[in-house]
Amino acid sequence: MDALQSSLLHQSALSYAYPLYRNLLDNSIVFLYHGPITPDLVVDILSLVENRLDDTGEDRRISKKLFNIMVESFSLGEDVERGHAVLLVRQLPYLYTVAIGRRIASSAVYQVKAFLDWVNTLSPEALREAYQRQLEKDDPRNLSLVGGVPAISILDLARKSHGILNYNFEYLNDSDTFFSLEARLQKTI
Amino acid sequence: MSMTYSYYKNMQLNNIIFVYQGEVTADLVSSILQMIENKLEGEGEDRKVKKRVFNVMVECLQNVYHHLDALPPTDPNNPVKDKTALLMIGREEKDYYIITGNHILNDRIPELKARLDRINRATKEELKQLYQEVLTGSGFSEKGTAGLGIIDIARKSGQKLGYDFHPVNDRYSFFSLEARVSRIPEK
Amino acid sequence: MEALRIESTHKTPRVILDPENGIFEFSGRSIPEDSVGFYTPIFEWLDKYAQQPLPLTHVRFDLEYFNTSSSKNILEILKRLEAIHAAGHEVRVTWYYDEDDEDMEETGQDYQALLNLPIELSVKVQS
Repeated sequence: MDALQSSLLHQSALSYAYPLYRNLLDNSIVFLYHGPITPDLVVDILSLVENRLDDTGEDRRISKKLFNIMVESFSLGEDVERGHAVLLVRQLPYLYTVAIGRRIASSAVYQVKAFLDWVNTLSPEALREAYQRQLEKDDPRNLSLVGGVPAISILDLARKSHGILNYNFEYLNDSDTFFSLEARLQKTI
Repeated sequence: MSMTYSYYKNMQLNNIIFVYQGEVTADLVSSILQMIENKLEGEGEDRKVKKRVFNVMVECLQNVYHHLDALPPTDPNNPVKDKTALLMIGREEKDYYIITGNHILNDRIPELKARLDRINRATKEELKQLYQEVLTGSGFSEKGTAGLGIIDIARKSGQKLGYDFHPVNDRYSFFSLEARVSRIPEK
Repeated sequence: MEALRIESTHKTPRVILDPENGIFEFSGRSIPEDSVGFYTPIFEWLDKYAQQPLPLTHVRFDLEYFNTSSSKNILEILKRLEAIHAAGHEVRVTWYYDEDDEDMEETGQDYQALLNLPIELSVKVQS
């Protein structure tokens, strides 16, 4: 029984390779990472993406912006307690998207959603003020969190992506919900 | 359902701890290796197991490299523009698995398949012998050390290799290779 | 008072705090796992320097990238410099940014807005 089960699993991971590959290509995904996010990994992933952008000859201003968005997205994914995060970068004809996905407490969903909805209503000037206020207020030892997510990181991402942050919540169970946040970057500036 | 979540769910289901899809360059390979090493380190995996996962991974990545090099540089039938590949690392209760996926020319499949089957039938001793034969030039027909990579992966993995050929068009298929490394440290 | 020198790593910036010549420098990246641990000795050093600062201190920030938890620590550094400046010991800060890096320029503007301290934004000369 054990042998059969492990051979079934064996089959499934291997047979997932092509559909996954195809799917990533079809969705213009240039980078997909799934795993725990640690500062060491952040550095490696960034250099990996930097190489890639250099290779594709992307405009340096755009590369820089994308890079900065990724740096901040990682801050949202860093969380030892709740395990793995997903980082996904798509390269579409007119824009890049950087999405970070992680678990948050199900009880925090309302709070996070309310905060994002508020951030999405802000004008660029108001967003800038909100960011500066948060920067002043925060204790470096203890960044203020909105439902376990650093408020300053969300404000920063909203600024850097010059637009609306898309978000999604998938209920997993009473304790955990999967939260994803997508920042967009227009290729033309 | 968001795209991010659907990948997350699929990867959780398949116990995948790392996925990379994209162009494979020497710099990327070293970055990925470093990243995985840090990752295994951070999770307190047994030192010997860690080393074996690492060694198998190095060979797998080099093998992908070799396959990509063998592709015609510009070919309208090639389903992807550049030399992209897929790398997937998973962790199950008993094993790590390392899966690489890349395009190959269809006319290379029979030879590759025969080689893989022969490797999978071989005992540990026979593998060692085969390795030496290829090294001295009397084994697989192919020139150079190209045939060595897969034998080496099989030896380091210590388990049967999994593989799959997925037809893409008249000229190309997607070749996935899976090597497993036991998480139970050898005595 | 002794100079504080910290070599850069791939996660932390190079820091030079030279009290003899009044030249301070922060350059490189800042995404340390423990940003408080990294910046605390710098705060302590600056608190000591604040007791006997030179009449003029030059401070150079030349950062490639950093995360927001570092930007908070950088604000703390700048606040200490602001206090020195307010006490009548001139502090001149130059905030370098890559021509292509609008975000870094914007961050410099944020600090200008938040502090009563001369912060000059300067485009880095491409090598």
